[in-house]
Amino acid sequence: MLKLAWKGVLAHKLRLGLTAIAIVLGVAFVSGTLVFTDTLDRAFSSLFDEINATVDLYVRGETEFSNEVVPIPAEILDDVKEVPGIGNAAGTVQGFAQFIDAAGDPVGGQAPTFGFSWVPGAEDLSVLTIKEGRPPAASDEVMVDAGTAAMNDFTIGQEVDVILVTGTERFEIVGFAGFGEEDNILGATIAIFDEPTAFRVFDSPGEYASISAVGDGSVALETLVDRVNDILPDGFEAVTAETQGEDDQAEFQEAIGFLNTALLVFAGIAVLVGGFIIYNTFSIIIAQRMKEMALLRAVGATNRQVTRMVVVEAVLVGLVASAIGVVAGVGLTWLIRSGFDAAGVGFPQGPLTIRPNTVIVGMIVGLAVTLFSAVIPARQAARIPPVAAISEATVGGPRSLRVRAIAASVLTIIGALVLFLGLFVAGSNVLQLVGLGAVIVFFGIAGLSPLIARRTARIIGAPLPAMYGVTGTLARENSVRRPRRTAATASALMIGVAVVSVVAILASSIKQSITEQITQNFGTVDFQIQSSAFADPSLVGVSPAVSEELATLPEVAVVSPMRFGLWKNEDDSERQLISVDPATLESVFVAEVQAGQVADLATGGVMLQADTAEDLEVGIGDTVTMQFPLTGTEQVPVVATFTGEGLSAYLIGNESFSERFSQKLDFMVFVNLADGVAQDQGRAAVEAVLEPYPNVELSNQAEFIENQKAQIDILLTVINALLLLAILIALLGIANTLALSIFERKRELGLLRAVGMTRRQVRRMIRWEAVITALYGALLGLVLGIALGWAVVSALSDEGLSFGFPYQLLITYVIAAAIGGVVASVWPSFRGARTNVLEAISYE
Amino acid sequence: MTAGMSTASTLQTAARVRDGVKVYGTGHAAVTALAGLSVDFQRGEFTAIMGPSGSGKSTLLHCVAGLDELTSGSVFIGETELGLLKDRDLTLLRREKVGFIFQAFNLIPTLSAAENITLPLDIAGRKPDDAWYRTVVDTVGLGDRLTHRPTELSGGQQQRVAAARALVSRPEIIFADEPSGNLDSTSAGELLGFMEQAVKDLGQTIVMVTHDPVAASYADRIVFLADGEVVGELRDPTQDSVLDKMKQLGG
Ligand SMILES: Nc1ncnc2c1ncn2[C@@H]1O[C@H](COP(=O)(O)OP(=O)(O)OP(=O)(O)O)[C@@H](O)[C@H]1O
Ligand SMILES: [Mg+2]
Repeated sequence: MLKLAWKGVLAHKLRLGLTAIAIVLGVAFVSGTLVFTDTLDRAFSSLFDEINATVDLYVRGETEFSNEVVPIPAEILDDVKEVPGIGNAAGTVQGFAQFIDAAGDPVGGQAPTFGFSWVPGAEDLSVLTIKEGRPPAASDEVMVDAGTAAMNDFTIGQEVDVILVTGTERFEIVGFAGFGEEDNILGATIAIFDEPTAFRVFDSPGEYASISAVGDGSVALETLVDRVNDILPDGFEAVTAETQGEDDQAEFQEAIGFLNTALLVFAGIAVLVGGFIIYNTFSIIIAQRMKEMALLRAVGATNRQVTRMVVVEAVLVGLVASAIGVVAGVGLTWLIRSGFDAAGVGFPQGPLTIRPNTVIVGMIVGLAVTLFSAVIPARQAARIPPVAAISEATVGGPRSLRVRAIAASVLTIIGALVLFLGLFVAGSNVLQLVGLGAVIVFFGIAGLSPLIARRTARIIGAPLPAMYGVTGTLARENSVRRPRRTAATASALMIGVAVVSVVAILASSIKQSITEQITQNFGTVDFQIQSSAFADPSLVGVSPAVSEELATLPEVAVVSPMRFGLWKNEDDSERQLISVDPATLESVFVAEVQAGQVADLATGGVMLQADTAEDLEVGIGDTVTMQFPLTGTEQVPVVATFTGEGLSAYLIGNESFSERFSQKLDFMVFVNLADGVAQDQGRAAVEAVLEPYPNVELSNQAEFIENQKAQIDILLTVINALLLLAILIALLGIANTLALSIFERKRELGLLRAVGMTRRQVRRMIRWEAVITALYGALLGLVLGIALGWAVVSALSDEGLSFGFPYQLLITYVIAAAIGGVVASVWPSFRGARTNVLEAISYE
Repeated sequence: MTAGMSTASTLQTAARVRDGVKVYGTGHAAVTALAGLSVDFQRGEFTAIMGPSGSGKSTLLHCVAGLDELTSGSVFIGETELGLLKDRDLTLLRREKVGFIFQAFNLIPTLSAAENITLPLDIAGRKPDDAWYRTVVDTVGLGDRLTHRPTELSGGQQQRVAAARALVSRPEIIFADEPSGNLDSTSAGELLGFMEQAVKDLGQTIVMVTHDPVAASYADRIVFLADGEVVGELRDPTQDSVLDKMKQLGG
């Protein structure tokens, strides 16, 4: 039987080859993701090892927040140096610093823009190495990482502007630095100043971000760590370099873990879509080989053996395709790295990390999907009776549609329930439940769709006869000839389109809510100032120097800076807050204060959105437990409640923010002009102040809304790009099904050619068949996507989200699917038009 | 009235082959299916082609009908030489001037009987001549089964639908390769009667390949082939005269 299976695979090389592509692509996505993240992970762990090799211990401020750095007073360094057994110790100052290039544009922004201090005489205690030139030694000197220097053609001796918390200043470049062997890490830009300058420009006088130290060899490291810990005040700790390395690594893994999961979700969608195609191909091939199977049965093969033969075929295809997929995944990662390199983003060099796990996971995913998808076709094969070998009758015909209808409906309902549970009931695991529910619904609808395929496809194809006469009629009829096949093919596309539509609806809803909130709650604002880079708000922002300067302008009446921070609630889950200037809040944020006084924010209290206060069952005078990066857990008094959207549900005052968070940049600055100042006059004045800050953007309300929308669109584009593979696989499925059906209909095509159908007409017929299938899948996906999107938006309506219906975009998707169908039909229709008339009509 | 037929009578000729050679394959595997034969098919005549298996009957039919190309020699339908046509023109010629009835699998399963009948016209985007359509359909005698799909028709009914399809576009010539080969004698009789009637009453030209002396006796003229050559001919055959001629050729 193994021999037969192998022969079966060889005999259907081409058809199985197309199936294999679906698996190859899916597996490549999975294994590529793993290789990508593993490579990053390993590169960083070796970097940390290298850095920590020359350091024995670190002193750091204790915090539960991975992005935050607790400042260490300079006196602590002096104390640490005094600890017996310490050989040398040095403190590093850290802060925000962004270069401006020759064209006046900010350098970086998507990736972090860091500034560090240089510690003379303690090179082995520093992360940094000198690549060229010398370290900074004066208040107007800076060293830049070699990667950034190369990207921007910086030369030693050149003057460069650097945006800092304290304002933009000009420095002379005196050297290039690296991190061990690397010139750059993932595009982060580094500016290095001497220590006094660093204290000043990072606005952290006498504060270090970390202290590193080496022992003099007289005592064991553990003893040394204990000794240092003994002299440290509360809130600070000493750890071995190894521990620090592990923590850095864990922090990095957490960051990359998110990327990993996100990419794997998209890979999963691609694999799911691939599964439908594999199922369909095996079903079709088995239908086409019915005689062969029946003959096997007639000559004595048990139905078990027939099943096993099909399963073994699936295993062979799965093995080969998964292996190719794993290799392709590695190739993909290599390509991505080349892309990063070309873009000047320092992706770590050295070999790609291919762990055994990557290969195993890739193989298992590929094999499992293939096998799982081939199970039903294998059982169909086993049901073919021996008599089919000699009779013309179609056997193994459709099973009871009612059973299918009931089973599929039950599945759909279960899926919908799981979704409902995830969206409206469960407080945790929401994403998992929603994902699971969606997948179950996909299967349910895929099961139901053969029942409606015929009718729906006829409706979709209704205009065809009028357009192309009998060619159109034939296209329409062919598309519904095998409703199961059409349905399975369409289901693959349905999944892709459904997910894309949900994303589009979410994006549109968010955009709509943004517009509503901005116009309703910030209607009185003249201008906003915000980072022009769409990046993590903990890494970018507006230098506070900007609002200070703006406040001095006669044209400006109100300047209201706001900051953004993450805190943790009692359940240790992260929440967002916005800090505001209590004095000016009410002139820029039109919210109705329900109770309490906004001014009391200055006392360190919190202002809550009314709904949140209700959920928490707190009122004015009660407290909320909030954990902050720098100050730890506090019982924060509720000083006011408000209704309105657009800012966070939690507002605190700017002064208390500075004590609780290390972020020194403003998230946003709102500006109102003085009475009688015209918009353009005011704008010119504000723009003059912003001249040295190309990293921020000035916008009036309309522009601001547009900017916000543009950011959502960027996100939408990225997600769609990741979903493209699933859609491609689905289109591949249409091509495959079509090619197989054409093969099956050789005689018919020959007959049509004989009685006078031109090749062009044949191509047109096949093309429209593909378009109908594609449209059917797209419309199913659209309906499903709209339903899912609506459910998700409803679930989020508490967060101020209202349903936005991107009908233009959705129509575009449907048209794109139809065009995809046309593209998918190119090869099959070419083949179909080439049908040899004589071969087709010769009677066997 | 064989190869020697003069060009003066070409107006009467619906199709003709001159020095037709067809060789399949090359080298050792080469098979000569047509060995340089010439034959004319007269307008308004029902011609049968007979001969032993492998004698080249189907090959001849395919080449005359423009479904296959000769290795050398020429084929004319009316005054058009097929060898000079590109695929598209050949297709259009088949559509306009030629009708087909195959031994089996004549009908498109997704179309009704009526739609199958008008298929060549529909492909061409032409409307059937109503009176003619009615005449053909009445002659087929399918009645209310016209709206049925091929799978719901008997083998004989299917072949008659195929014949009606060949007739409805009023082609120059209809080719049939063993059209009654799969039918029982009653159904075969009905089909052949229908074809005979089409020639007599409607003036159609039909060329039919058959093994069956009974079928052949419906024709006006029989051309006998052997080894890719015309080896004999019979006019106004009867079953007995066909059998006699076959014996004579076989001996
Ligand atoms: N496609 C082909 N390739 C090679 N040889 C072929 C091909 N078609 C026909 N032949 C050969 O050409 C010769 C004539 O075949 P043809 O089909 O014309 O015979 P026929 O008279 O129609 O026979 P039958 O009565 O069995 O249908 C035969 O020897 C056959 O083997
Ligand atoms: Mg033959």
